[in-house]
Amino acid sequence: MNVREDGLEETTSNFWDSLPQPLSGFAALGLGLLLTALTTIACLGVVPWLPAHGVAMLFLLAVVGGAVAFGMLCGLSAAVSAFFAYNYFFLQPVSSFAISDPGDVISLAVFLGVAAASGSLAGRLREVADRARARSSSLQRLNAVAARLSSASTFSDVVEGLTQEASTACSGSAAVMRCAADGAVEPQAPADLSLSTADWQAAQRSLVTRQAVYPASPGWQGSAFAFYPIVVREKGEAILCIPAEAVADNASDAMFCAMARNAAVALERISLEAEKSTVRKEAEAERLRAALLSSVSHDIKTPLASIQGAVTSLRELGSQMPEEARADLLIAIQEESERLLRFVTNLLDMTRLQAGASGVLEDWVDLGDIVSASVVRARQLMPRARIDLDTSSVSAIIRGNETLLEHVIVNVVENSVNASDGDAEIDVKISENPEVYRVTIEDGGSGIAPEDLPQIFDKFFRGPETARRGSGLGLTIGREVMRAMGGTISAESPIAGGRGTRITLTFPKPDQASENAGGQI
Amino acid sequence: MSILPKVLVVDDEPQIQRFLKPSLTASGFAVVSAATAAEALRAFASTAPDIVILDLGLPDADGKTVIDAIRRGSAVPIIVLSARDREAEKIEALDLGADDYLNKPFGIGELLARVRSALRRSVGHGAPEPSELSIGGIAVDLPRHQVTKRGAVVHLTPKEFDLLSLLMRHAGKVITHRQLLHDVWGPANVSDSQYLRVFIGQLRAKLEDNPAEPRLILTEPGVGYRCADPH
Repeated sequence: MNVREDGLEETTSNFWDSLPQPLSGFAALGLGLLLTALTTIACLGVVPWLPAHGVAMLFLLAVVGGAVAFGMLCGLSAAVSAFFAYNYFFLQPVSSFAISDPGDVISLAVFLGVAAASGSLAGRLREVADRARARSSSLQRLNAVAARLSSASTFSDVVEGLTQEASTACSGSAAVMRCAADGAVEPQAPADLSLSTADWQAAQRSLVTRQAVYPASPGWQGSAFAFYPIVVREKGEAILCIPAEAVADNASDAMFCAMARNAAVALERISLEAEKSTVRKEAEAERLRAALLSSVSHDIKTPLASIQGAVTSLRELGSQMPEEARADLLIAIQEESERLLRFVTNLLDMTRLQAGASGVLEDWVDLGDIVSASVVRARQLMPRARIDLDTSSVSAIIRGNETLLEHVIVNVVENSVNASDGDAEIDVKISENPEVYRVTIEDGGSGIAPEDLPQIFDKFFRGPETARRGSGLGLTIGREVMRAMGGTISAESPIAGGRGTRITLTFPKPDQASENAGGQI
Repeated sequence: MSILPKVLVVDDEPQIQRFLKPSLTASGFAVVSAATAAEALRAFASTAPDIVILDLGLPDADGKTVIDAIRRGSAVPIIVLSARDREAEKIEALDLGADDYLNKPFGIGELLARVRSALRRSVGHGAPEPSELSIGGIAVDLPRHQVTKRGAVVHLTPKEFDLLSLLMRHAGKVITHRQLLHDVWGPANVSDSQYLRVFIGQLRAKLEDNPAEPRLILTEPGVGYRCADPH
């Protein structure tokens, strides 16, 4: 469609665009007379050299030229005045409207008929061409509006785009007024728009009736603007205001109507996208909540079961147990209390996480910064492990949540330390490729059995090495958090010489992230 | 000297094993421990325990597969350990043939009581069916279809009688809603638990001293019913 309209424009514009605007009223009539007068003078000058009917041909030329250049009225005016001028100046007897030769009467009548017909035909041709040109340009404007609005992602984008395109279309100052939540017109219109009381009423009426209100509606004394309501799902969202002089004809009215509809479609799309994104965020939060709840319930119940079991055993059967069994139960109670304390501390962290869970993507965070903070915390938690950090000089700003990320990374590092025999050596690295930032955590432990590898992110899965220490949830929470941030977590093992495990976290770079999320930020 | 009864404890949590072992030993049991389903089945085959205590959350396989495997060749009592909020898991385990369950966390006394009760039932297993069951003043004369409460005859409908004798025959053992419905009303009615609620209510009204605080027919919330253990 675009191409065809452009093509039409090309073939018609060169000639017709060079023409002046068609004239109307006295200007057209006067110009017709002037053309005739000039032609008469020219003919008088060259008449001795002209054949008998040459003069009539020159007059016809003037009529057609006038009609094409200045419109049908000018052509007709030229035709009638040429009829008289030809009779008066060139037919015998000259300088009189009398005609001596009866043959000349016929010639003159034919001349009048031909002049009037060609003048009006040429004028009509001009009008048709003008209309086609107007239609083509209004279609082009609509195309431009549609293209612009379809890429708009916020209400303001739509308002701004529509204002500019409509202003261009009416070669004046169009404006877009927003509507308040209760459906009333917002009292503050754009600053460069001054509206009278009548204008305000007209605007309000367009919202109530959901129909365009024109400057001169019947029973309406009129305002200085035409108002096109932009209605999205039965609710008036905004009003397109066009100066009265720009909506004089049906074609431009239809164009502005279409622009308003275009804007409504764009606004509806934006609101649907926002809804979709809300639903998605809620689902993310829900998934995270479920993972956290299982974690909490398991992590707290296990040590409690051990403590309760050990305490009741001591109380009820302690007298029948050997001394070392009693001592071991007491140690077990102490260890489990410490474990419980750690989980509760974790839980408090998690509660904070949970509070922020719905806003996983709300912040811009520095990945390198978080990784190094996580390594510092992991070193405090596990002073015997050697944890090396290489952040190179990658500058990685991503959308995410610092607390959640720190939790995930510390968890993974802790797992790696637990998976290593004796003194653990852990390497933490950040790298990047064109699509993603990557954090890798490598250990030199005995690795993960191939049959276990697919399950390590499953809830409550614990490998033989970590079985006695972990809760079986660290990596599950990690996976949930990474998912919520649009990233991934994966494991490889063995990585070198049949040993070691590498856990890789990937974070999409911000532009990729917004593409993946369907353009929602 | 009599041979100590053997207990197979299957739990992947070392802390649970840590107190179960000395407690059971001190209570006069020989303890065999296993941390995974595979280990459990190996230990079961090689030691032939008298009772199995089984945690349902095992790292290598679902604990229910262990019940299934044991039940194919043995009627040994199985007591499952599970979290309170996992009713479905417990019901499945009981329907697969587990004898009892215990919610974690639990006290050692409770576990030992369940173990002893299950062992008693298991010793009685295979003995000729008694013609009269009696618990706490309630006596059921099976051949005559007659129930007495402290000597006075109580009139029960045939379904009430079936339900009561089923529960009393397995005194101390949890019976799931599904098992009760299946055995009393037949396989087509296993999901009509409203029948069961009504009949249990009627039985309690006729037999309990205070039906609001039953002492004979006990509710195991979300799982089933249990007739009080006479011991």
